[in-house]
Amino acid sequence: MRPSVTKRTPSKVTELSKELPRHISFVKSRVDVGGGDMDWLRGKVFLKPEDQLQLSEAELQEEIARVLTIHNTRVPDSLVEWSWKLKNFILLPPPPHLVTVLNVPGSLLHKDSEEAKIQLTGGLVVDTPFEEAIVHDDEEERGEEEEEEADIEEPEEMADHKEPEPEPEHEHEHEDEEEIEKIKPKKIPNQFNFCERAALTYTNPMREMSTQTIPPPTGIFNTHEDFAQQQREKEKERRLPVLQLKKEDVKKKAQIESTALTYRMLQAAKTLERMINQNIFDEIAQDYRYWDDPSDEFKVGEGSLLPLWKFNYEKTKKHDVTNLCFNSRYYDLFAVSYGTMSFSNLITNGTVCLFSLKNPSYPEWICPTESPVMCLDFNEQHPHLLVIVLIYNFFNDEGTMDGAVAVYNIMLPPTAPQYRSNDVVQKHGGIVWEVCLSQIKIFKIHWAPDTEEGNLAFYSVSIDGKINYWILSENDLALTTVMTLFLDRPPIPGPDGTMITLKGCGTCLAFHPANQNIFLVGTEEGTIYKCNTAYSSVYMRTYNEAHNMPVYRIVFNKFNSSIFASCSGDWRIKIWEDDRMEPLFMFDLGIPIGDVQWAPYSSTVLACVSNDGKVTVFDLNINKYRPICSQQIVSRKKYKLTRLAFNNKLPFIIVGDDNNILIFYENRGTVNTLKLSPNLRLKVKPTKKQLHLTHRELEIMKLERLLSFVREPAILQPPKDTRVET
Amino acid sequence: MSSINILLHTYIYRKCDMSDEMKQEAMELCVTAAEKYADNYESVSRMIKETMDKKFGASWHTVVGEGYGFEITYQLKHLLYMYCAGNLAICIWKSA
Repeated sequence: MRPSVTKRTPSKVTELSKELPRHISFVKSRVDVGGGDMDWLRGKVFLKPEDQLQLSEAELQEEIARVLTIHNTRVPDSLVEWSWKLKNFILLPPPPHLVTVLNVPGSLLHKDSEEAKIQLTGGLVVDTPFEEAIVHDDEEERGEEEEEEADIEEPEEMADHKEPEPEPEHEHEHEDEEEIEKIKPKKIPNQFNFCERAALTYTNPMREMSTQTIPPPTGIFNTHEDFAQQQREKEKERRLPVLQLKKEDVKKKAQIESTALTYRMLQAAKTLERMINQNIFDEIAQDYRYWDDPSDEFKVGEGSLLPLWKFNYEKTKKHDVTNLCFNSRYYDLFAVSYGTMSFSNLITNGTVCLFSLKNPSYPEWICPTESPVMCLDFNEQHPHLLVIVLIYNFFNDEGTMDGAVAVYNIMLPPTAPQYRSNDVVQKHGGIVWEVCLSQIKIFKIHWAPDTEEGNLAFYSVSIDGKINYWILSENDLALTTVMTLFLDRPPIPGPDGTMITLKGCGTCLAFHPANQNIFLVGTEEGTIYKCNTAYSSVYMRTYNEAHNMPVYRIVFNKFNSSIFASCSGDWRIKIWEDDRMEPLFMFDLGIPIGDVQWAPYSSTVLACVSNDGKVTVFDLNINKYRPICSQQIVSRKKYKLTRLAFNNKLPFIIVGDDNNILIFYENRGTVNTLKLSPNLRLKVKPTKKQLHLTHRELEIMKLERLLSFVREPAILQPPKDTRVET
Repeated sequence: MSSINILLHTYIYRKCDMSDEMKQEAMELCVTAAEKYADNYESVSRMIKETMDKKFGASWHTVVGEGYGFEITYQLKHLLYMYCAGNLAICIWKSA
C-alpha cells in the first residue's frame, strides 16, 4: 500500500523520510526536471539503482504537473457497516483526521482569560472547559457544534450586558463581584506556593502533662542573733579601755584645740606683722621693686648697689653668717645659717633662720641648734628640705671638732631634724682624726639628684679630706665615702714609726651643672681637684697651686658649664676653663675674698665679697681688668663680709657679715640686701640678625666672643694691681 | 579511734537536728576534716561536702570559718552547726 501512497501523496514528509531510496529517486526526478539549470553539478556521477527506468530524452523532458489536495488518501472514504435494521450496508461517515496519541491537560492559565478571572474572584474552576476541550479534540464535529453553541451564547451574554436597564439586579450582582475582585486580589496558586491537600500529612497536636512532688520539709536557720551577740560582746570589750582612756582623750582634745587656736592666732598675727612691716618699710619696698639709679645713664661702665633691708635676729647677734641660700621655689625666701668661721670663737650653739623679704624684721622659721651651723643648702626638687651641717662637740674632750649633717623639713616645726647622721659611726672624722687632733668641719654640701629608688641624696666635703655621699632612706642617713683627697706628696713619718699619707683639706665643692658625676674640690692647700664620682682614687685633673691660700669657693658659670670661677684667701679671683691649666682671667683685690658668685642673668657678671666689707661686681664684657662696681657695705673696721647670694629672679643680692677683728661687736650676723643698679645687670641686646635667639643663647655667644680674645695667648699677663677706690 | 574520741571532746555543737546516726557521723567527719586541714578552710569544707554527698545523698552545703553570720534554708533533719577546735565554726546542711 505504501508505495502507492507515496506516489499519491508526496506531501507526507514523514513518510518520505522513512522511504529514503524512493525519496532520492524522487529528488532525482526533480533534479532532472530542472536539469538545464544544474551546470555546476557537471562531472558528478549519480548512483543509480540497477532497476531504474531508462527513460528517453523526450520522456525526461516531459513536464508532469503535481497538484496538492486536501483530500486525505489514507482515510478510507467508503466505510460501510451492516445495518441489521435496514438489512443493508450503510455508509459510515469518514473517520476524523486527528488522532490523539497523548493528552495532558495543562494547569497554566493566561491571566486575562475568563478562567483566570473566575479564579481571581475566588470562584471554583469548573472542570467543564477541560472536558469540553477533550471532547472538542476527540470529536471535531461535536466540538464545532459546541463552539457554535458558545458563539451563540456569547452574543446572548453580550446582549445581557448591552441591556442593563431591564435587569438592574443582575447588573448589581456583577458589580458586587467586581468589588470583591478589587478587594481581594487573590494570589494565583502555583506549584511553589500551593500544596495539594492530599499530599499533606497530619500535624500531631501538642499536649502538656506535668507532675510535681511534694518538696521535702525545710526549715530556716540563722545565726544573726549569735553574730549580733558576739558583736555586742566585742563592743563591750572595746568600750572598757575606751572609757579608761577618755580622760586622757579629753586632755588631748583640749590640747589639739588649743594648738589649732594658737596656730590660727599665729597666722593672723603673722599677717598683721607683715602688714605693719610693709607700712614701715614702704619706701624700701618701693625701691626694691621699682627704683633704678638714674645716674647710671651718665656713668659708662660703672654701677652701684642700693642697700635695702637688713635682716637680723636678736639671738644670733653674736654669730657669724656662715652660709646663705635662696629657696628654689619661693624667690623671696632664703635661709641663713649662723655659726662661726673662726675656731677660736667660743660660741657653742647655732641657729638656722629662714627669712622672707615680706617680713624683714623677724625670721619666718627659726631652728636653734646645739652646735654652730657651718653651711646649708635647699633641695631644688623638694624645696621644703634643707640640709644643715652642724659642728658637733665643739672642742670635745680631746679638743677636736666633729661634723655632722642633718636634714630638716621646713614644713614641720623646727623641733627635730628629719634625718641626722649617726653620732657614733657616721660623723666626719673618727679615731684617726682624734689622734691627729685635727679639726673637722664640713664646708660645702651639694644636693645630688635623687637616687634610682627615689631617695634623696647629697654630697658633702669636709676638712678631713673626705667627700661623702649621703642617701636619705626612710629612717636614716646612709653614708658612702666617695673619695678621700690624698696629697701627691710622699707619706711622712708619724708617731711610733707609722707612715701617714697627708690628706688635703676640702673646703669647697662644686658639681658640674651638665654632668652630675664630675665635681671640683678646692682645698685648704689651694689646690683644685677635678674628680669623678665613678673613680674614687684618681683625680681627673689637678690644678696644682691654683691658689696660694685656701680656696673658699668654686662656682660654675650659669651659662657655660666649662667655665668656673674660684676665689681664695690669697686675694685673687680666677676664672678657669675646663682642661686648661692656666686661668683665663685673674683679678687681685688685695684682700681675702670670702665668696664669689656668677650672676644668674648674665654670663659675664660675677660678684664677690671681701674681708674689707666690700662687694665687688665684675662684668667681663664691659671691663676685663677692673670691676664695674666696688662698694663698701659695712664698716671695714668692724665687719667683714662672708657670703653672697644672687637672687634668681630679681636683681638683688644678699650678703652675710662677720666681725673682722677679734673684738666682739654685739651687732653681727646681719644679712644685707643690696639692689643692683641697671649698669650692673646689663643684658645683651640682640642685633637684628639675632632676634630669633633666646636670651640664653645670646649670653652664651657673648661669653664665647669674650673668651676667644683671651684663649689665644698661652700665658696671660696679669693686669697691673690697682687699688680700687670708691 | 582513741584520738578521735579525744578530739570529740573539743567540739561544741550549737544546733543539730539530724538523726543520731547521721549526727554522729557528721561530727566525726567535721572534726577529722578540721584536724586534717588545719590551715585550709577550703579543703575542710570540700572534704566535708564531698563525703556527706556520698553518704547521705546529694546537695550538701558546708561553711567553714571564723566570725560569720548566715541565714540558710535547709531540709529538716539535715542541719549541723558546731564549733570545732576553738573558734572554728562549721555549718553543714542539706538543701536539694
